[in-house]
Amino acid sequence: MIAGSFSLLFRRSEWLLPIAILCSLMIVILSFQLRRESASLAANLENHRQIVGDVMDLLSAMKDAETGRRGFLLTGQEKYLESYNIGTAHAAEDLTSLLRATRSDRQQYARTEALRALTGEKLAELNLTVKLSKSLRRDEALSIVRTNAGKGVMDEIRILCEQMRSSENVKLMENVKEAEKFGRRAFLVTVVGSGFLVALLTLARMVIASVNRQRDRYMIQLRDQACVLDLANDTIIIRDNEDRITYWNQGAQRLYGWSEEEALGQVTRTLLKTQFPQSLDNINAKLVSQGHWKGELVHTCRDGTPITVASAWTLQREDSHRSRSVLEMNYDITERKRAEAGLREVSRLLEVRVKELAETNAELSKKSEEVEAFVYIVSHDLRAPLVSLQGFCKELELSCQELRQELGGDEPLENLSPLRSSPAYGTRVQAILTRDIPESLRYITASTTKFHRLINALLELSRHGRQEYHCEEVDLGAVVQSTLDSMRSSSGANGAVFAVGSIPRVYGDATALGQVFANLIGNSVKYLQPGRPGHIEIGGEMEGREAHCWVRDNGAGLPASAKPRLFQVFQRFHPGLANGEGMGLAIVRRVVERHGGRIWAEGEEGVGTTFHFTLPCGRTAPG
Amino acid sequence: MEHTSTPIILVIDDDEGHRELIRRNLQRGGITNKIVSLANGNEALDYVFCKGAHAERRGDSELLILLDINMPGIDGVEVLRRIKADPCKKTIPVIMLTTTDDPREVSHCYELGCNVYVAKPVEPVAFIEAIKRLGMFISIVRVAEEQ
Repeated sequence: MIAGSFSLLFRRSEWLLPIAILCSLMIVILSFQLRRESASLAANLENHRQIVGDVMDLLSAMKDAETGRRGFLLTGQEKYLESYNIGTAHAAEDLTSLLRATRSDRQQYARTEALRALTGEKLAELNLTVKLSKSLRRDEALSIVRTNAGKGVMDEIRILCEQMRSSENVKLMENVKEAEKFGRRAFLVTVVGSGFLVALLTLARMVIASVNRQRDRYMIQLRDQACVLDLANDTIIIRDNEDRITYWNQGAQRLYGWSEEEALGQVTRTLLKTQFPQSLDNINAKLVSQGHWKGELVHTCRDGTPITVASAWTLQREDSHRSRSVLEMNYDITERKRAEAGLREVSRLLEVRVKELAETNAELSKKSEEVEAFVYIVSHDLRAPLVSLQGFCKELELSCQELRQELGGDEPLENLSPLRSSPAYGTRVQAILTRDIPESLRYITASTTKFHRLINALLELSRHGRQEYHCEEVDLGAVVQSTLDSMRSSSGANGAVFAVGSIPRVYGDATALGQVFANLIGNSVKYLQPGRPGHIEIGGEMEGREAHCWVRDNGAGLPASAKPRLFQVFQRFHPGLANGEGMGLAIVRRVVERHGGRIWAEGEEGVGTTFHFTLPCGRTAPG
Repeated sequence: MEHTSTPIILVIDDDEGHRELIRRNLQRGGITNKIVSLANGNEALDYVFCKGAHAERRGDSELLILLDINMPGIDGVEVLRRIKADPCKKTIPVIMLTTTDDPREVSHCYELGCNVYVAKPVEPVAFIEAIKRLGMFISIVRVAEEQ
């Protein structure tokens, strides 16, 4: 908009000047012509005046000469000859002047020639008479005068002079008319030329006023922009082609501490002790080829503080590449760099910690494997002697039966021949065979059976630790449902009511996770509060990248003292309510932890228990 | 070929008590075959392949092997592997005896070619049942082969 009207203005003022010059030129030419005409007119007028004057003078001189002669002839006094002498001298001068003035006018010139002849004739007559009179032949002279020849010549001269005068007067009138016409032309030229010039001047004034207004607007705009540039928070520097600073805004002053007066004319890299990320030649090459460059620079402030800036350079070419200036905008990123360095350090420390953790984890996992192997071997090897114990108990039982058979079967021992002699002895043997030994054997058997169960439980736990998992996405809802189905079909539900909420999908081993729910729900069912209908709620929800599941019951609950040992092996808290080895929760914890989850319990004795556990939803390798 | 003779039953177990229990159970179950008890894998291989202390043994008598898995030195799995790797001896029926029912060990033994897998005689009745069934199975197979 501004540029458009400016160019229009420029175009208008462009044709203004040639027109003004043309007008002035025309006025000058016209004036010159008028001046020439006026000069010629003046010359003409002067000539007329000269001719008329000369004619009158000649006539007057002739009259003087004649009057002088007359006086001399009449009186004979010499004093009258003075007038005669002056008249003849003047007449000759006037005639010469007249001949010169009439050169350009043939008619007048011819008259002048005639006049010369006549005056010559007259003067000769006068001279003759004067000479005669001087030589005292006065009468001779008077007789010549009396012929009136001299008077006739004089009259002819007079007529001729009158002719010339009137002829000149006619020409003078013509010249006056010419002068009037010229005056009108000159007036016209003056008026029109002045009018034109006034108009042009007015237009020029308007144009100048408009240009001035425009310029003022631009100045204000420029000043505003400069103000904005100056106020900009970023550092804005302009450098010339020798890297000398030509512009330095307040942002630069704030950042570097150098004032505008100090910075202007300085070389940037010297003033700011710039450290470049690559050679300056490379940067300049890129600046020239692409027109801009971006990078990080290290500058030093006035107080010696080093700062890092993100620098953007833009090349501005002027005068067909010969001179250039560079606009440099710098943004202080020192804090960011420091934060980044801090972050890197934190990240490094974190990596170290993670590594340590991974090592610890690997160590723990190795320890855990060792413990599991140990449990396996121990329980396995313990079974061998146990088998002997159980087997030989059986053998002993059989041996006792055989012995009784040998001693007479079901008959009273008193009747047996070897013992018949002593009834008391018989009773004693019978008591040993039928009561003491079987009782001992029963205790031994009970113990070995329990021993066997415990070892089996340990073996199972170790198997849960070593078992290979086949991990996949598992629909826990379906797992819970099938657990409940098998529990109902084996009538193990103990009359409890189940409420199953939505349970998220997780990533893990379906069989092992089924075991978790089976054990937890099984526990809830087993340890219901006697006399209270069981209500068991199974639910789950997503928490971040984990699934949080729970099994809540209104059963017997847990004594506070149970919490620390809850997930350890062989722990039983309600032995009166159901049978078990105290392995279920240990197995549950083992499975959950191998999946990378956590397990914990809440509850109050006599109110109920809630078991919570988390499982990963993503693909993390269960240990 | 002396097929009519009853096979010798080899009981291989490092635990003397277990060997005795097995022998007693077999006899009580009415099995009259000759029973040879051996205490470790080395002895067992010597016996089967007629080497070492058993170099004098005639190798034509038929065998039925009851083999414990866990033994010091050459264990039951190794003994089984060597027997099954031998073209002449691989037809000998082998019953693996173990205190554990660890599924991995069981599947490993089946892979190596054991015929049956029996838990050690905690319950004598079940044990004898298994042996008898296997004995019957083996005699049926032999009859079938003769025909």
